[in-house]
Amino acid sequence: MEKIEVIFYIEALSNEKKLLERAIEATVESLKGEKSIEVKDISVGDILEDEEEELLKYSGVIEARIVGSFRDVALAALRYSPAVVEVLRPGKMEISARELMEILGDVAVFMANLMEKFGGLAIYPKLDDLPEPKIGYSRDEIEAMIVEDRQILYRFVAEVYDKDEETARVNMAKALSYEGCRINKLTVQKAPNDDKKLLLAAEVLSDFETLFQLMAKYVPVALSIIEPEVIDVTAGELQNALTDISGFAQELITRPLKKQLMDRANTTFRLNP
Amino acid sequence: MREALYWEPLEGGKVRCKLCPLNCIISEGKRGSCRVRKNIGGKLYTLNYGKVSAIGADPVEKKPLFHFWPGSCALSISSVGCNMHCRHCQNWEISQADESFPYLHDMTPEMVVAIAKRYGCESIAYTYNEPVIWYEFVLDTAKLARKEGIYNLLITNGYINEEPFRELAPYIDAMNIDIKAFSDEFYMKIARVPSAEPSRRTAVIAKKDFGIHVELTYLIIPTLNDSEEEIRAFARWVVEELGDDTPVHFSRFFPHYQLTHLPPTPLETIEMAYRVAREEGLKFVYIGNVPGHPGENTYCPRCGKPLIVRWGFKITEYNITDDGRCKYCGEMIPIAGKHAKKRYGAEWW
Repeated sequence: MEKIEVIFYIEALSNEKKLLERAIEATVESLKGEKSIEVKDISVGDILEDEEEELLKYSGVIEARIVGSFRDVALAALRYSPAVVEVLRPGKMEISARELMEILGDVAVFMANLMEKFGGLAIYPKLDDLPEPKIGYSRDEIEAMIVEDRQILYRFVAEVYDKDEETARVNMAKALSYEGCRINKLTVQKAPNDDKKLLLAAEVLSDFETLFQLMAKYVPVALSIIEPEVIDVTAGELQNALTDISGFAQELITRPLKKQLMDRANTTFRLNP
Repeated sequence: MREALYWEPLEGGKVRCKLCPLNCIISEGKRGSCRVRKNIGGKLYTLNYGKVSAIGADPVEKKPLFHFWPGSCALSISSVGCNMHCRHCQNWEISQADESFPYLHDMTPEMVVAIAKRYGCESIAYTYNEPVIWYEFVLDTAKLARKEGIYNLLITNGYINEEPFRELAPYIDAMNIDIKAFSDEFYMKIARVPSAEPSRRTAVIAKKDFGIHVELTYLIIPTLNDSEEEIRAFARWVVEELGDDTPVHFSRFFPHYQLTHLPPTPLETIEMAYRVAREEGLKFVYIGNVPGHPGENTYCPRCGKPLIVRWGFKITEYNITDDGRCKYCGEMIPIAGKHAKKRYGAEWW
């Protein structure tokens, strides 16, 4: 697969300046020791102090220029969870459906491990206000979506939880529609040997970025990309997909700290000036 | 979350949002530039309806509105999102966020109005982030507030299409419109929208067609919109299109967000703007973000005596009669409402 060149902007925050310096040093060393990706250049910005901030006073940014296969760069994005990923080249690339499935498989496994520790990501606003989306499209409609709108047709199976199969079916249809998918087929059934767990099987169409988001959020146990066989991706789409998955990883990893921050914000009060 | 107002379906499940002049064409599953209006299943939904990021009772002077019920209290509420992406935004944490912002509270229009009444606020100000992209909630709340005798204040960039604005305007009593600069280039490069014209058009419609009390704010940013020619052109436009009695606030810039490399606006620049605007014929020009500056005061355009003396947001002297005239020379002063004498003993800040 064609190599891609990106810049990771990795942000580090801490309440202790020394700790932050050490963490930045360790991250730089880790980047230098990477075997799967080539780290061409690393620069570290000055540590800034925000006096108004009580808990995470100090911040620093590492800028790393990285070259590697999309798969390796995606895994590095999950490990280092940069705040932003900038794709420098190529402007466009082609990925076969098989290669993309492998990359998405890696993403799903990585995210599943994180979710086991920190909880899930598929959280939605109240879905009651949404109408039930259309399910099922004609072959002509599907072809038009693939050719004209550059949509990808894929099937996946994921574990979901709800009070019963019908409620799960309605909620999942709305959730997938909310994510930006068009649903061709969708079914929910009880998981064997587990009363609480349900299995969702869906055949949907979405763009490249939504496919990545979905795989990272739902960590499906099975995925199959049906069409097209070769997927054209732009630098912008790559950039969004990489930034999204690294954002998801960061969201989970920093969840305990955020909870602490939220608790603090919700329990401190000031007298009216 | 609820279905948005002002949109139309397009081919292939896309929609066009018609709320603001960006007229975003949004594919299924995607959001508009404001981040809070999303195409779900071929319909446009507003994701920030009833999502309140900040709520507090402010002096109306903080909006800034200097000629509308001076000394009164405005219950200020905000949500998340903005149709502009100003590089200097001082509220970027909420303006550039979406409904996943962690500190949002769910509120109904009834709750907002009840809180305003409970705390004795004369008005509700839709402020801090852009209220235009909170349109449906602002409209519902403004209608209810009007029924309850509470004024509605819109603190906005004015970047809204004419049709939705004409639906909202009858419920709005006062507006402060942020005129970012007087050039399209600034709007394109700094606010990241195509043109300056819609904000100016909104100001004219508000004042001329609906009789809304309009004040303008112009934040002066060093090197970007601080030339004498630009400020003169702006002041001339205000005089010609809105009238010489329109209050104009020139605010001092402090480094924020993506413009932290720029220095705060020198005081001389702000004072130059004040002088230029007065030269062009504006009667009520103010200097903002410089507490204690004499440019915070209202002076009588005829006798020049100080009519409302302020320190920051606090009124320390009020020399306008109950029938709205200068206490010294009898000149009529365009103030909407009366001095609402503050029940707060303490300083605001």
